[in-house]
Amino acid sequence: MEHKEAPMWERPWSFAESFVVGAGLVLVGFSLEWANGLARMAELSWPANLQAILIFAMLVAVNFAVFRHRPWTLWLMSVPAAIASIVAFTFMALLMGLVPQGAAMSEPWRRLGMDSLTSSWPFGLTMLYLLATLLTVTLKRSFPFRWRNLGFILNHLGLWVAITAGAVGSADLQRLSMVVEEGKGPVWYADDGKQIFEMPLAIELLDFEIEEYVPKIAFMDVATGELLEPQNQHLFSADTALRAEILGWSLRVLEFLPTSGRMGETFFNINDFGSAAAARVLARHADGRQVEGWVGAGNALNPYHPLRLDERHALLMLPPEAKEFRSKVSIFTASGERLDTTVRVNQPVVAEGWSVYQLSYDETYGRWSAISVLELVRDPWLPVVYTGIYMMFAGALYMLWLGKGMKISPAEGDAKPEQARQGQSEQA
Amino acid sequence: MIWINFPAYALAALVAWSLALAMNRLSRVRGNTLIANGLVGVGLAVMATFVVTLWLSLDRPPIRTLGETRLWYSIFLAGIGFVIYLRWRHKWFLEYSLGMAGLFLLVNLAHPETYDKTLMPALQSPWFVPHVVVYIFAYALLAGSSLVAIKGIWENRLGRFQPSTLALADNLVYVGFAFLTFGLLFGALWAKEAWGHYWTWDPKETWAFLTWIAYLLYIHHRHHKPAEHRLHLWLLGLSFVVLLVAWFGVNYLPTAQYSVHTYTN
Repeated sequence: MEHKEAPMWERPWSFAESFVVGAGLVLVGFSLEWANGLARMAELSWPANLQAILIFAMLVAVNFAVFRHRPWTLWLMSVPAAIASIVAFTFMALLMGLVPQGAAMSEPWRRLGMDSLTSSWPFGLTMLYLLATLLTVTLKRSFPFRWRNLGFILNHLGLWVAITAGAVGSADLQRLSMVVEEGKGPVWYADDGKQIFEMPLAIELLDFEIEEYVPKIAFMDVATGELLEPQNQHLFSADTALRAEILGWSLRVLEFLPTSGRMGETFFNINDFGSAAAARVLARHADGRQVEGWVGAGNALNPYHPLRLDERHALLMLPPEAKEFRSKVSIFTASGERLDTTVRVNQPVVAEGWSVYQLSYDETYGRWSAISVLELVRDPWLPVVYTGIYMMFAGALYMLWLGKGMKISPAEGDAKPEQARQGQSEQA
Repeated sequence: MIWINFPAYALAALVAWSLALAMNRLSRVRGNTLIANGLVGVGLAVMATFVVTLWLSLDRPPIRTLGETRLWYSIFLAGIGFVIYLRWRHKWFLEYSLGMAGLFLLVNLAHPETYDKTLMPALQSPWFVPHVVVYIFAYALLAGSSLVAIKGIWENRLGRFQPSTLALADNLVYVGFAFLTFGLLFGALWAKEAWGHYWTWDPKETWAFLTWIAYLLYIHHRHHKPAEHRLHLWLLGLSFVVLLVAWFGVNYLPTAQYSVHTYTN
C-alpha cells in the first residue's frame, strides 16, 4: 500500500509500519513467554493493577498533551494504527477461538502460553497497543470538546474503560466453588480448584429442590449400545399426549411414572429415595409387528431398563433434564446476621460483597441429590466495567440515531482520494 | 414430533413471496406493485403467526435451536428487505432478501426439528429473548450488507460499479453494527447473572467478538479511505463469513466442546 509511495519508516507512518509494530509486539510477547521466568501479565493484583493502569493512562495523556503534533502521536491517533492494533489484538483472540484454552498441550505449545492466552504476554502487549491508540484518539476528539463528537467519545472511551477494567480487574476476580449438603450444617470454606479459602460468610443448605422435564426416549443400536443420532429425529418425549413415527415404528406412551419401582418386567408408582422415571410404551411397526412394555430411566441407584423392539433396535429412556433447580439456604455473615433465601440459576444472591450462584448438583442422583454446588464470586472492578458497557450502549444508541455517521457522500469520497490518503492529517 | 404444521406455513409464505417477486419483475404497472407488496406482507404475517403459535405450543421462546434461529432470521431478512425496498426502491434488494429468506425456510423444511420443550435453566432469563432477537436482527441486517457486497463485487468485475451501491451497505452496516453491539453487551450482562462472569472467552463469545471486530474494521477503513471500494466490498463479504462462523460454524470447531453455548446436547 503506502510503501509504494514512501519508503518504510518514513513519516508519516501508515499501514505498513502500523502492522509491523503489531506483528513485532506479538513476536516479542511470544519470546517473553518462551523465556519463562517472567511474571505473567495478568498477575498484578490490587493495588498494583490500579497503579499500573493510572501510570499507563497518564503516560498516554501526557504524551498527548505535550507532543500532540509530533509524528508518533499523530501516528497513534491515525486510522492505520487503530486498524493495525485491532488486527493484532484480534489475531490473539482468533488464536483463542481456535485453540482450546485450558486443555492439555505438548510442551512447546504450553511454553508459548497457548493454553492460557488471556494471561500471556502477546495478548497483554497487543492489548496495550490497542488501549494506547484508543485513548489517544479519544483525547483527540475530546479536546476541544464538541457535542457532535459525543457518540464517538462514548464508543471509544467506553470500550477503553471496559477492556482496561476487565483486563486489570481479572487479577482481583475470585470465583470459588462451595459444596453444601442437606443436614450437614453451615459451610464457611470454598475453593478455586487449587486452594481452600475461609470465607466471611457461611452457608447452610436447608433444602435442594429440582423440577424436571418429562424425559426423552431414544432409539438405541443394540449391537453397539450407541444412540441413533440423539440430536435428531430418533428421540421423543415420554409424554402421553404425543405420538411419534420413527424408523417405521409408530410409538405411543401409554403410561408415564415420574418416579417408579420395578418388579420383574413391570413398573409401579413409588416415591422412594432414588426412584427413577419409567414409561409403558406401545410400538407398532408398519409390517404388523407390535411390542408393548416398560422402559425405565437409570440413575446412580437404578440400572437402565431398555425395551427391545427387534434384533437391531431398543428403546432407552434418557435421564430427565432439569427444568429448574434451586437451593434454599441460610447465609450467616461475619457480622452475625442471618439471611434466609433461595439461590436459583440466573438469580444470584449477594452477601458480604460476594455473589452466590447456583452452579450444579449431584447429577448422578438427579432429583434425589442432597448436595448443591454453589459458586461464590467477588469482582470489585465490576462497577467500572459496567460503566464502560453502559457508555458503549449509549454510543450504540447514538449510532442508531444518526444511522450512517460518516458524512462522506459517494461523490465527495471519490473526488478526493489524494486527501484521504494522507491519513494523519485527516481531521474527522 | 415435527414443528406444528410448519410445512403448511412455510409453503404458504414461499408461494406468497414467489408470486410477489414474479409480479414485481413482470409488470411495471402501479396497481400490481400494490398487490405484490400486499403479498410480501401476507408472507410475513403467515410466518409471524407461525412463530407465535410455536411459542405458545412450546411454552418457551422458540429461539433455542439453530432451526428456530433460522426461522427468525428468515422473517427479519424478509422484513428488512421489504422496508428497504419501500424506502429506497431497490428492487434487486427485495429479490435477494426474499430469496435468502425463502432459502432459510427451505433449509428448515429439509431438516425438520424435534418437538422439544426443554429449556435448560441457564437459558431461563429475561435476557434470553432480547439477546437472541437483537442478534438475529443484526445478522439479518448484515446479511443485507453482504448481499450489497456480492452485487458490488460482481458489478466491479463487469466494470460498471457505482459508488452509491456502498452507501446502502453503509446504512445497513451502521444499524446492524449498533444491534450487534447491543447483542454483545446484553450477552455480557446476562452472562454475569447466569455464569458469574461477564466475559469468559467462551468460543462462541470469542467468535461473536471477532464478528464485531470485523465490522469495526470495515467501518474504520471505509472512513479512512472512502475510495477503495474493491477492498471494502471484500471486507464486507469476509466479515459475513466470520459472522456465519459465530452463528453456527463454531459448533464444528475443535473448541466447541468447551463451549457453554452448545444447547443441542
